Amino acid sequence: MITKKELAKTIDHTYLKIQGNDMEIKAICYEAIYYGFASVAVHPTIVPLVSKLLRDTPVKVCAALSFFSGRYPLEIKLYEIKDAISNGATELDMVMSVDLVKEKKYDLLEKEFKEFAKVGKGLTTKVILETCLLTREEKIKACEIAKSCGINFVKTSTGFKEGGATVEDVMLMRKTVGSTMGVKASGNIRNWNDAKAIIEAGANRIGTSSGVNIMKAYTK
Amino acid sequence: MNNTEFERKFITSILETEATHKEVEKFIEKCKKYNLYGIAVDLDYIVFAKKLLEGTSMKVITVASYPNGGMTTKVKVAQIKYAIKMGADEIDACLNYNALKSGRFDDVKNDMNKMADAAEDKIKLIFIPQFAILTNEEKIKVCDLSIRAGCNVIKTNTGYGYNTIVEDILMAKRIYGSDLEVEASGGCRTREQAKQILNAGSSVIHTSTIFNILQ
Repeated sequence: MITKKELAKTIDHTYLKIQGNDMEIKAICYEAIYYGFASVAVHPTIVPLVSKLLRDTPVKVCAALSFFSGRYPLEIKLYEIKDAISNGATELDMVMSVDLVKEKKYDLLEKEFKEFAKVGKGLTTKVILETCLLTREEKIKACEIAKSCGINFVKTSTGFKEGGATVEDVMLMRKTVGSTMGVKASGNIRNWNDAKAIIEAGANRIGTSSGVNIMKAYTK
Repeated sequence: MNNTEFERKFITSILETEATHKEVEKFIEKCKKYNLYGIAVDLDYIVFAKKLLEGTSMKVITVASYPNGGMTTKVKVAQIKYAIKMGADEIDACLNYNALKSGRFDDVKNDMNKMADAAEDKIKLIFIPQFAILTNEEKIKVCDLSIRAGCNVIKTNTGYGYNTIVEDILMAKRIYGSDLEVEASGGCRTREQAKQILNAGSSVIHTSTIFNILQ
């Protein structure tokens, strides 16, 4: 079973509240440093502050990109990613263009992922599938294309729709991408039981705003 | 107000993550049976929507950093310029809510100014203060900043669970009168609610349950 330290390193401490304020953000960053989380995940407007607060610590700065619909022209998506990188983001969670999947325009999806991988070279790229909107075949296809384009992680959800991460989806994604690629689960992971099940299903990263509770409730 | 005039007070939208061209077309065709003010679509569907709405007087509205308001000024400016290039009539832009809730009003103002500069007179820019998450003081502050930035149209909320209360419209209209146009969005689901909101001084109502209200 995963150790407490290992558990901490799977957590992207997530803060995406629309009414977020600076005081809370400072507390979030402190928590991430104290517990040893992998990163703090925030909206791009908050990346500069988080980048400053996490300087000289092992906690990474993660940006939520193309949020939350994923519906932006490619040039805008790439511009947003570059802007976040210039502000200090080194982990990039981008919502994919789900409409391209629905219209089976997989060549355009591949182009999007390739450009994303290029812009994010040397950093950590994660593609958000929004699994609750996809069929089984679509999830598999998106994962396969992400893998072939050199994306670092496939991620289940934005957390802003009804459905979040499920054990079933994580198992499918892990099976599809194999053992070395990253699988991140996010959305509806609220406690240690949820986290445990998701990690056992194959996720090596979890996006949650309940990181502190999860760490406190951890048992071997 | 007759039926046609009533219909003209409404804007609806198709901004779903998974919406395909086929679904957008079907939706717009359904909307064309009414005399709506306009339809909101994502940036990548502006041209498509304009074509479908040719021959009608319905406006094409789009959105920037919607609905979370988490994007930086630079990226919102890029979206406004893109929307102008594609020929959208209006753009509803989310503000920097983090700065607003943290009391960094200069940052809010700078964000607004840059967006207003980008919009120039080439597109109707509407700011979304998100009244549902603000104190009354913050609501007045953001309206003040908006007018000073040269944008005199606000949309109360983004919707998505952030609902508009009639009191907020009454307050804004009482304080600013005709200096501020107030569009309402969020929580308007029935004819009765719509009439209350319009009577309070709202210029137009955004709703997703448009067919329920108008049939």
